[in-house]
Amino acid sequence: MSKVYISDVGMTKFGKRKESLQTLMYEAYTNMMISDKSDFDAIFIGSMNPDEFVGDSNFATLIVDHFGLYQTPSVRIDNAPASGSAAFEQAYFSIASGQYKKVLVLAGEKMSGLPTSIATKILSKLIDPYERSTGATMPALAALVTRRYMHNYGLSRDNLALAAVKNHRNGTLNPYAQFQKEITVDDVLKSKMIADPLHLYDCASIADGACAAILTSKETDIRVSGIGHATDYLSLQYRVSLTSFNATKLAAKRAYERAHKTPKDIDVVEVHDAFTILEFVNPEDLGFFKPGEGIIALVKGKTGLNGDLPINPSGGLKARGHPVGATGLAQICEIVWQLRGEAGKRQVSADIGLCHNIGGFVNNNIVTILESC
Amino acid sequence: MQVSSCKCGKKVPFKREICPYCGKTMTFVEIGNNAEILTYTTLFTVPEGFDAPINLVLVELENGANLLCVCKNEKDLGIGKKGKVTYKDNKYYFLGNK
Repeated sequence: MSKVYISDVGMTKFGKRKESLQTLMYEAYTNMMISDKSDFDAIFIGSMNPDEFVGDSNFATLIVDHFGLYQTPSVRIDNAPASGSAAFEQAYFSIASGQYKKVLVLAGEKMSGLPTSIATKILSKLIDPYERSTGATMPALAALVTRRYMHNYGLSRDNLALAAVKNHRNGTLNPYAQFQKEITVDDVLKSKMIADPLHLYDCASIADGACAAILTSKETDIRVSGIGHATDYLSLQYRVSLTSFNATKLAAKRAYERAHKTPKDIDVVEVHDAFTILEFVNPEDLGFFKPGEGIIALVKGKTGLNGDLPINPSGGLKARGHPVGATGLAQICEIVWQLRGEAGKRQVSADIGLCHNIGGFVNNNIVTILESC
Repeated sequence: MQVSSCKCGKKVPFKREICPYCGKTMTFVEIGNNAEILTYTTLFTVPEGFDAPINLVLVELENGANLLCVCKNEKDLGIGKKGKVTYKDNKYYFLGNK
């Protein structure tokens, strides 16, 4: 296999945006600093559902047209909210195989143009058909997991809120974040109840935004060390555990093996905190902490910007915002900036970073490890 | 109530041809409708077409399968609470024991 490197990344500010999805993707593309944006062998686009969110199909060709990249092979990849990292994964394999030398990865979603009830309904289609027929939503499934985790490990409601508090604090230092404002535990508990025990501030937002990256076989200062991908049962009813997810554990195992790394080698992490409980479950499943001990690391400051293992220095999905298809590539953008020392006020000390992106309700997950070279 | 059962030992709700755990053929079997709540939520923000609030409970049936049910009575909610499951209008409902 050929080695695969990242030459540059770019993203838009996340939040409610007026522009079209293709315009946002072009903004992310032009925000990449390098001048040589020609000669792409292919374009890989991660976007979960432009068909329903913005009413466009055949989106891969639309992008070629919009960007003026006539004749370039282009494909859109839908892997639920892991579409961004799935597009990155396929781009990675296209270069690793030796077939392509330089490819463009784009990822984005525009969700805010629809009323919340309709966006919620679209997102609920990620759920098993019977489960969603009961009215279950993504926050409802997360609430079921949260309740059981609190029961098993004694996590308090106040401590659960600390995940949102920490990520909002990090978000104040990220100019791309949707929310650049600190919040308190009290703010979380006073926010609207969505699915008991989860309040609004426990949930990632509906947002618009896009990201871009260029992958190349030519050596740069950032290497893609390994990618792991795994699935779990669609239905929550079939899961063997409600507080730990095999799609993360197996994706992580595969990524660590391919990158020749262990959890101890990782300096900085971006995890898929679509709900506060996942700020604890994900790092435990990635092998950083024992089950139930994620909160201890957070309270001790271990996962803060000055800790041994900073988690979500970008603010995570919670503060950066969660335009579903964009999120996986936004995590990769953040880790590249952290490894390059380009993360501004939220800079941590890191040579090796890990991204963890979830598709569906924790059932189609991708772990990507990047390192400085 | 009826669930699908596999030689691998797993049971899942509804009729399924293929076992999600091992890929082998499943058979339809009758089991009792006693159930215990594993976890629950009350959902206040519901998808278009539903009325809030909705109580959802994930229960373990007496013979092993887990099932997501609607629970009409808030007083029946609680991890470990026991009750019975009934099927109506394509949905399962949980009713707590008195």
